[in-house]
Amino acid sequence: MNVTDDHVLELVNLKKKDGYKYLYDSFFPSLCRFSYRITKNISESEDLIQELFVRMWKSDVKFYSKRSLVAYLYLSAKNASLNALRNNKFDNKSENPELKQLNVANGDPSIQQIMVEEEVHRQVYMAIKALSPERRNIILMSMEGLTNSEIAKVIGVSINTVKTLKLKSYRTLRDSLRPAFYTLFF
Amino acid sequence: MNEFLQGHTIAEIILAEKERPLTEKEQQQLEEWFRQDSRNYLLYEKLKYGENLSQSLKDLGSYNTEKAFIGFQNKINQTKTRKLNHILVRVAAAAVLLFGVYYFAHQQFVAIDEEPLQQLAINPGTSKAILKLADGTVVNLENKRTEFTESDGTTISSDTNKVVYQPNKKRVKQRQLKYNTIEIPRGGEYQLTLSDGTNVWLNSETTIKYPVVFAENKREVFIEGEAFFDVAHNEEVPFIVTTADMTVQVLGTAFNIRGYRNEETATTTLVRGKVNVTSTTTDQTFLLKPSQQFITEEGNSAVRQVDVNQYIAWKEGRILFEDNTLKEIFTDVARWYNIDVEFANPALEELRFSVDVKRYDEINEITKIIELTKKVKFELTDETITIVNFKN
Repeated sequence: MNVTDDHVLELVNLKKKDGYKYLYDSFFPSLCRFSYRITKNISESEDLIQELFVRMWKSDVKFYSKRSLVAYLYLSAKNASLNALRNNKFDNKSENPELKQLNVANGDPSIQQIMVEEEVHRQVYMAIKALSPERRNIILMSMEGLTNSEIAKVIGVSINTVKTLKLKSYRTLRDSLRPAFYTLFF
Repeated sequence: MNEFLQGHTIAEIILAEKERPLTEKEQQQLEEWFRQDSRNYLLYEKLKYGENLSQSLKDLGSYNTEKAFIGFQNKINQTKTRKLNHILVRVAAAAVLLFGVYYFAHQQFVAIDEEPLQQLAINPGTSKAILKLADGTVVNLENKRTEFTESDGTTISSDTNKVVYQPNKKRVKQRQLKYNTIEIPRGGEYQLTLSDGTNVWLNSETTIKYPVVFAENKREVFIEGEAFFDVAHNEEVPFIVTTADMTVQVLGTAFNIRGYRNEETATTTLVRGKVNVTSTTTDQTFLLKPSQQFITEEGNSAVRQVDVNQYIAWKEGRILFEDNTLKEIFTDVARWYNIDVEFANPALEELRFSVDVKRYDEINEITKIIELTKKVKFELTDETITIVNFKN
């Protein structure tokens, strides 16, 4: 059960901390990863995303759909990351950093491809995060290929309990992920 | 189209495909995207089969979002303080100038009023709720009198602090239950009468999901947050409340249930009647008698005897604590007054106090009482309350 999109947009537009808390919970890790995949610098990518949210808070930007909010966040993260590349350690400043960093011929993904992958994984992550810690654990373990009896041993319950918890979790996942992703986990 | 608007659409389509066949339009959008870059199809295949997913999820979970958010708050507060200082400097300069003029005009005839610094008023919560209908329509119920009909003929009416479900008299057999959801934001409360006549009081930051009309063999609702239930008696159709950590099954009774996602402890407190509570994590079941409380924390469950008044005070319009820690007290206070609370030092969280005030008073009714003990002081800004040592 999540806050509705409209409600979130309103909170973000009104510069409410609750709205930004929601943005952090939903987007911070994914945007950091997105930025990291462009800059290849873990600590810098986190700083960039942190600054992105501070700038956004100070700006007058307003959103009228979840879509535009999502696109705005990735676009700002892209610009911030490319700027950082441009200003930083890159010896040859005249070179377009986008081309340099993401060498298409080498088979590196395009920035849009990175975004699509991060966005798909983000939505799955949010759905799993909404589960109780125990159920979340079970889902993560089974995704890593552990069998029910192995999971049962790790957390010290019966196999049947694992099965029930798994089933319940999948049901919740199916409810909360509008475009459901649960088939992936079987 | 902006590359990320398109990217978002594509991500949604890939997720949707896991559950249902794609529409023709979605199929076209996907194919158009494949044509744009030959590697897009490879990515699509990768995502479809969940390649890299498990590693990504682990990675996403390793970020400390809480800490990052605290950093964010500090940064934006700094900016605010700086702005405020700037204004204060100008006000002070103007005041000095005015004072000078005044002084010369009246020679030594100057009286300075010792007015106390103006207190910031932090107002309590009010009735507000967001209702989501089965078809996804969202209705804001704050200060609104409305009446409308769900698709199955159920009448839904609201009068500023309560929403009532009145089932269609000619009962149509349903194949599938239709669910509505009500969300109460921080600083809000609302009442709900379900289609069977059960009354529910909903506290701040609470979400409830319930069928517009109940099934014939059971009445089941889902909740996150805090609510008080006065269940309409019906021995044949059990009433079931499910939260993340427990399931409560009743026939007709009154009880308070509390299970916030961001709190480690979840409780069910029985006022009258009888209920069965089952812990979701351990599957253990307990039978509660009036004045007993089921409590679960990190997978451990127990039943204890309590003074129920403290647990249902919120619904009676009171804030009542008896020898509780500041942390416990201010978790609730923050939720109701919709503010953030910070402790200058973690040891303060464990200090114990008793409070008994009206829920609709301003926040300083609470802070005044606690400050009388001369153990802690409160520093208020518009959205944050900082608790500090009294001697500072």
